[in-house]
Amino acid sequence: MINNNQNDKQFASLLSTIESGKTSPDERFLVQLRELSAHEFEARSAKSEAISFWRKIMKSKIIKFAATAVIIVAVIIGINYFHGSGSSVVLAEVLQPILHARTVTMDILVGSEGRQSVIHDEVMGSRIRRTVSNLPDVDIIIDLKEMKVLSLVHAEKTAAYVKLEGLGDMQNYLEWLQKIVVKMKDIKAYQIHDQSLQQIDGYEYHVFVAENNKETITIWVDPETTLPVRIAQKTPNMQLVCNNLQFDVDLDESRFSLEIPEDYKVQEAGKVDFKNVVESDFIETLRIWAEFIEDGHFPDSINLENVVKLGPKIDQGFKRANLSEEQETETAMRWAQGLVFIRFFKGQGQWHYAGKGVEFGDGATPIFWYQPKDSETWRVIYGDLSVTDVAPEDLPE
Amino acid sequence: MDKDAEREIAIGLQKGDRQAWLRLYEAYARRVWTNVARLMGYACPAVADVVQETFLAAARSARNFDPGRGMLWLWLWGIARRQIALHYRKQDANVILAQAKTWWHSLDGQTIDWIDEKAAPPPDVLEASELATLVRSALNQLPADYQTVLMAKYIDGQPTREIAQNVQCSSDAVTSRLVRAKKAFRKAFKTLTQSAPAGKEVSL
Repeated sequence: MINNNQNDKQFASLLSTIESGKTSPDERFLVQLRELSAHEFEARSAKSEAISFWRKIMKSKIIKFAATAVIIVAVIIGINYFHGSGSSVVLAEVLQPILHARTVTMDILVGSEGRQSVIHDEVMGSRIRRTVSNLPDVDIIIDLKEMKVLSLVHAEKTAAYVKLEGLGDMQNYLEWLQKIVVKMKDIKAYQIHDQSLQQIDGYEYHVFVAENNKETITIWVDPETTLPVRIAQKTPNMQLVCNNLQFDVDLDESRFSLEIPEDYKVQEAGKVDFKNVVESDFIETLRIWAEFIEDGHFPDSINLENVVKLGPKIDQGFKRANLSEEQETETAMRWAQGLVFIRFFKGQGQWHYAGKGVEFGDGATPIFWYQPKDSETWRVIYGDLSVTDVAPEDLPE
Repeated sequence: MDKDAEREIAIGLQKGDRQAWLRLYEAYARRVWTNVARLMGYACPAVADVVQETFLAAARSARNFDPGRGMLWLWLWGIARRQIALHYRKQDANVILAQAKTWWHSLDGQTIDWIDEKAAPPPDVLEASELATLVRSALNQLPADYQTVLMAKYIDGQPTREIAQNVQCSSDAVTSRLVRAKKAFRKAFKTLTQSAPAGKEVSL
């Protein structure tokens, strides 16, 4: 039998077996790593300047609206890339008039039927006039050539410009539709099915379905005008519907003016560089999502539908956390900023989200992984929001 | 590191202040190295790689460090533990661990008593590299705070008061954490050595 002291000594002997062959840390290596890690830390910090931009501008309510508008512009436009097409001559003929259209108006619905936010767009050339159902009293005019956004808050008679950078050549919806028509003529990536006539609200429409293994696009065409009235795009991550499509509507050019009305107070909001939205921005988005919106858990999904419907929930979370108005705005913007990382995902292949039900702080469970561009390894984000590089064969299942 | 210094560093990290990062590095780099070397073996050539990956991963996420969610050390050590686990996922560590288990089963004597501290193992057993392998594997299965207090107390020989200061809690809390940590270690060791030699545990 041995006493407590001996117990401790014996336990120490057992544990100290791992000290065999003990050597001192490699000091030269540690000095080099000191500089390397400091450089990495600074590089990440510099890339977070976009966030500090938001922090600075959030002091004004009008800038808050302008900033929100910019994020909406980026998030909505960014999803409408159409890769590939089909081979239906009939469909192409039906869509032909779109090629010559000058204007288009539509309602964009994001999310499941009956629970959507509605974005109303009027498009003329490179300019879009946009209103969003959950931003009342705000008109947003976007110029995709000049990459400039004007936000008008009519209730307060205030206005703000935001310059967009790093978005590359963006298409408006008219161009997007026209490209679909052109591509559908000769590429066989999509299978086109003519579903014949279908009734909606008492009217009959031709329905065409274009699908491949990643997405399904359904187009409803008015048999009289041979123009589409509704287009739905469905992918595993989102569902988006362009409804009430009307072409060559007579729109007043002044509605697209970037001039500010005379009696409106102006504020210059600076610029937003979307090129510099990086992984750490997205991590911040996940943190805010778990902390304020989902009450300590990561969301079931990070798809667009979930993003758009979260307005009221984020407000409740902020109230629970007792944030000031300024903090609320800043946090909301940081949340939105990181979403751009996903919308403009530049990595190879797909990103994967597996955070459903995972508790914030769970360092053992991977919640998101993606392969950065030109990288052989993947980046894996865990429930405690730490990140590691992982070889493809070691990815979570 | 005391609470005030830790708070200063945390604020600096959130602001992207290089000096804050360097303070963190100076405070913990050697400790991370030593603990990684203990858990992987001082002779393991991958120690430097794991230490490097730990600090680069930490540098990338340091701005998001929230002091309300725990100490800097436990955050940093959590990253290091994951890097160690990742390293072993890539290696065929089963072979070494299986050999160590086979060696353990072949021993004459009351091996369970050695782990339960009812009897002292003979010196030749304590010097065997296989025992070190098993101890490392059992330690690797413990939570970060258990690993921290066990290594501080039984390898570094730190008094309880000093450990309490480092982990920012009372001496009583450290004492009770040590009891729980020892118990968890014994359980992990027994589970490990009772499983078949070709088991799938890979942490060494």
